[in-house]
Amino acid sequence: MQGFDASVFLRSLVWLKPELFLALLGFVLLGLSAALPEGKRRYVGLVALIGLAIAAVVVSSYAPGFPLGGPKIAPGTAQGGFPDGAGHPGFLADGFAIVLKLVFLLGAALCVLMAVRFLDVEKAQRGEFYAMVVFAVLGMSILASGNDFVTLYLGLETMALAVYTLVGFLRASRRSTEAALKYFLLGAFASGILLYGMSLVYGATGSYNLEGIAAAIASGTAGPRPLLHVGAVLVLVGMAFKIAAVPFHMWAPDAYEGAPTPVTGFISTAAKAAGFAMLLRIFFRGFWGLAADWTLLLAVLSAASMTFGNVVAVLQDNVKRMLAYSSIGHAGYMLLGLIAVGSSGGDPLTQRYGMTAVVLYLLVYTFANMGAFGTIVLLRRGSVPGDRVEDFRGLAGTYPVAAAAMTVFLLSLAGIPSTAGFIGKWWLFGAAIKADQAWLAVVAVLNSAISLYYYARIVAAMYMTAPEETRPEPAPAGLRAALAISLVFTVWIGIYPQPFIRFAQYALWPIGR
Amino acid sequence: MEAQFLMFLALAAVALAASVMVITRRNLVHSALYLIVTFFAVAAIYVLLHAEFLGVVQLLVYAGGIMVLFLFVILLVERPGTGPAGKPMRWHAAASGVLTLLVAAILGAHFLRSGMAPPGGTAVLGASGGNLETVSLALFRNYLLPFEVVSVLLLVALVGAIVLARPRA
Repeated sequence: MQGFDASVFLRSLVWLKPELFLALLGFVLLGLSAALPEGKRRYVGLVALIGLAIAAVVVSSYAPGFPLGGPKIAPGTAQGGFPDGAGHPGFLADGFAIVLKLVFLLGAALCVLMAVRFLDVEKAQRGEFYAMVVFAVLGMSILASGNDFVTLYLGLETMALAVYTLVGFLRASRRSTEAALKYFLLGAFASGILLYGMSLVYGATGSYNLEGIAAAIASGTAGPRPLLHVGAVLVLVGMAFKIAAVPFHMWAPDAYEGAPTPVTGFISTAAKAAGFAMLLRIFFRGFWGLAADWTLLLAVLSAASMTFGNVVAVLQDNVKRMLAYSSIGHAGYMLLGLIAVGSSGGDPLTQRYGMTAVVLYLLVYTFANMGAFGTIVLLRRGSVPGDRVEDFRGLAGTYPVAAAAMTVFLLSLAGIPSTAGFIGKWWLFGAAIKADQAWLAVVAVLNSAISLYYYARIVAAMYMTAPEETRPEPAPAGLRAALAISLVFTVWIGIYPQPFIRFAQYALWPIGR
Repeated sequence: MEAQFLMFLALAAVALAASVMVITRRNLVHSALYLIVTFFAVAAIYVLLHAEFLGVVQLLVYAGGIMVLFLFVILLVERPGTGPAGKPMRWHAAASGVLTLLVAAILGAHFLRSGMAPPGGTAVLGASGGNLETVSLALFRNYLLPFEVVSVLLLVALVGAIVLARPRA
């Protein structure tokens, strides 16, 4: 085998620090969960939290200007490692990967903060939960950096297997088990379609590396076009399933409703961000030469997801289910950014705008959605599931701060000015208009108006009805911290978004070289 | 060359005969056992073609893992010795026959058109250290990172299966 040099491999390891650390953390958590007695399992959650914070520091240490030493990655450049036979890197360290990894870690940390008390209530306090969250983040990190189909797929499956386990973690709950089974079966099916598409693309281009594929398409040496196109469409179908875009969304409402609520928050934010990371990588790095073809498909997916998700959400009485459909709609909004990049025709300004919009919205959405699910966790106690609209009745009387926070999260999801959601949607819809796709922006605005109706239903239930005569127990510290963090950032991004826009812009990379 | 060809004929005959037995046995467990014979014969053909790695994987994955899964499913789902019979079966047989002829015709046409593989194809492999060595070098050099990721993935699958399957506390 030519092209392999052990010293190159060892040098590449320096870009793998976050993943190595996360793997170690996962093993430590597994060991701890076996060693600690029943009553002390919740400390595994604490260790996981500290570990995730350290991982965030390790990830950020690559950013220029971060006080910690080590190799740096300048904005707009990529450092590659683990080259294949043709010299294309299999693993990329660039601003995009760093920013996305921070979003994953954020989602995981908020999930762990909420889960500690939730698992106590459900009598399912087991250390494996936290280990699985960490392994899921590990899979996402590998995926965000992956630059060939093998690495991308393995990262995706590592994440997916951990997430299936988390969804079905409440063994005593039929809903949880059913959700895990549905998610697993449909997920395995989608992975099969994805792999089949990848194998066709490999057959047509002779490379499994995204750069190799891009080079083959650009130079016209890619084999039969129908083979390549069918492969690309199948890859898109597999990815659309992972981000829950219509018509590949069937699993989402059941999985979201049945999963333990902190996990629902995790899969609707971090796992969705991971799906978008993979979509961006494959389609902008690998299939850039086909942009004119897949942009149209994405536009159809986007319009269908926005409209279907928001209209069906109106009919839901279960808040988790409602947020699941709203999440399908949000996947449609986020696709606008990708469509802008795809239909930019190589105009760098539009590309930058679209990329920034997607990454910024992923961050905004993580705070708002985790916060909304955190409020549902707060309502879960004793025999009250806490996920029906009537459970929110009179929340303003029992937990005034939580009710106010929930209102902010819902307004942010609807995109009302002075919340983070407004800034995010401003960029996304602006990207669509910049790329001459104004009709999609119109569809998106109309759907935002629809979404206001069902978000307002929850707000009305919280404020317009009198509280029931129950003395509220004080919210646990972890949950309070999670809600506070989500609230502060949702308002902060809404009022002073510049630092976060700069953060998102660090994720840019030169597209379509 | 002659001996190799005779070996191939013998192995192919075994594989075909066992395949026929698989679909004609009433007892599902017997069918499964004949399927193992088919797998072994096909694995031997791979070895004959200098695809030793493929042969070993064929034995490990199909004759090992997948067969055990088959047997489990047969034992769980259906009592051995029972199966649908009568009219639907006849239609089934006719349709299968037509499909088999169709696939054979397509594959045959394809092979006739594209011609045989150039002689010496396997000799080239042998000169570079053989199929097994080529595959393992690729696996442990260029694919070393994915290989390590697979180990984490399998661990996650293992822990996940135990978490979901162990009895409730």
